[in-house]
Amino acid sequence: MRKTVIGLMLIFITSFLVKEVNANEYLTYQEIEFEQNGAKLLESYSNGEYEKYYEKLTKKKFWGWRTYIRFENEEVSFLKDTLFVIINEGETPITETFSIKKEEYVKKQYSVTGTLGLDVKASDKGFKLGLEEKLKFSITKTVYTEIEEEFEMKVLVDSMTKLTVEVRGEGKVSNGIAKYYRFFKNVKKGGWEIFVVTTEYYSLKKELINEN
Amino acid sequence: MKTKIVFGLLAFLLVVFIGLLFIPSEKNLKVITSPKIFSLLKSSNNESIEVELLVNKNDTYYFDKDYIFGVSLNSESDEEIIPLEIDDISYGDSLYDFDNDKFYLVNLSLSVGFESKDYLIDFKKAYLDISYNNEENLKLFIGEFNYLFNEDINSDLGISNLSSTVFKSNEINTVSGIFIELYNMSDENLVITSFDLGSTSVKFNDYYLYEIYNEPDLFDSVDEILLVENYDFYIDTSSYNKSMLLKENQSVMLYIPLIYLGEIEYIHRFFFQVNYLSNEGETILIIDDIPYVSTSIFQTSLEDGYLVYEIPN
Repeated sequence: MRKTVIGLMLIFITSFLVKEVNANEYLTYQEIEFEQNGAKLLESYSNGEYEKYYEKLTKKKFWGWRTYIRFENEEVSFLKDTLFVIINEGETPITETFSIKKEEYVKKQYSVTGTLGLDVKASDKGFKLGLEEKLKFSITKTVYTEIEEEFEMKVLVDSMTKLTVEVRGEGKVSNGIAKYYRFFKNVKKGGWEIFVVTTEYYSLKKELINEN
Repeated sequence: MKTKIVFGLLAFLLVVFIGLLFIPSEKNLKVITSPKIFSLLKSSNNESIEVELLVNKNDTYYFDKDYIFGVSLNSESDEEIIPLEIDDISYGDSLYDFDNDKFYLVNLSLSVGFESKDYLIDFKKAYLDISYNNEENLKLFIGEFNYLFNEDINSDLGISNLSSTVFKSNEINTVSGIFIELYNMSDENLVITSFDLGSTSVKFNDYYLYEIYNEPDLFDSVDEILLVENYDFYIDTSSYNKSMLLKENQSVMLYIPLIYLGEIEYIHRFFFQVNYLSNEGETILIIDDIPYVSTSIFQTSLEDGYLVYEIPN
């Protein structure tokens, strides 16, 4: 009986480990919407889906990766957290000069689940053990850079309103699963995902403060 | 014995010759620019002008600050030259495949080499001119360049909404119009007359400056917002001033579409000015440049506009 309980606990813990996503910033976005129905993020894969896709990679390998691509360059739109907020709960309008720092521009972000790893040492963080090179599809052709810049503006915030800098964007998502073999033994397996932010849109928005 | 030495020598020379054949000759340096419209307002001393290039070598002295003697921005026939200072040169991590070669992204952070309180640099065609300690020179076309020094403080008008709408012009994502909410903070009535965009080839179409009552969505078309049919982005109907009364302590939501009249058919970031009449006469409000669309200038949809400079070894 004790063994059964321990066994069940192990299965329970493993199910969390399998689904735990070692991920990048994009999973904190407020909304992510796929253009095509049915496409989904890695974090939405069920355990059943993982098992189904692992079964597609039953052929062993002496050394290296076996990969399965479930979604390839699926178009998404997203809403990021707002960058800047001025709240005016007073009774008269206020004017303020705001300045925000825009940090990154288009970029590539990676996530993994299971026992796959991310190379955190590289400045452009990618998968460990050269997984990306083994994924034989063309990731959106563009180059990525980091630019820090500020812009300033004099704004008016009406009574009981808040002013935010909203960032919306578009990107492409590819994901699937992979297994890594050494001497025909499967030593690593899990899900992988690449999220490429291709465009971001900035806007200044006035919203009423919810008095609740 | 002698024959053996001669044959040995010949064999050695043959091996050296074959070896030389297989040593790859050093490739020529290639630099790619993707001309765009620069429209920048100098609003703080921390700002720099970012010029991005693709370069097929990451160890060339052409983009090493220590070997660069000077940088300037030149107009088409060099009749106007603006001195620039290099703040930084950095290489990106990722590679870009183009024309059977791999390219690195090089970012030049530059600043204008003088100060002013009210001055506009507007080059319809701007060239980045880099001169080197060995007297070499590189001249790269970077697009249209507009840079405004302005320290005016406007206390008549405040902004409380500012966003763009976008559309695809020949597969390139660009701004179709601007939505702005203005608030009259002064103690007099103001009359808004026109909008001017900080570019010589992309303008606001004042004929279609309309007051609207609902905030448009980013992807709404000009036709949907203004209830017009087949708005044309490439015909200039802008020489028309409107008069919109904005009473004191009142706000107004306005939408104004753009027109594209030059070779570069996209704009992602720009400053603009609102022209209005007050008791003091014609006055302006300048709106800082915001990245309404933030994306890479190196992507498949822009490849037709790339300029490739090849510098022989």
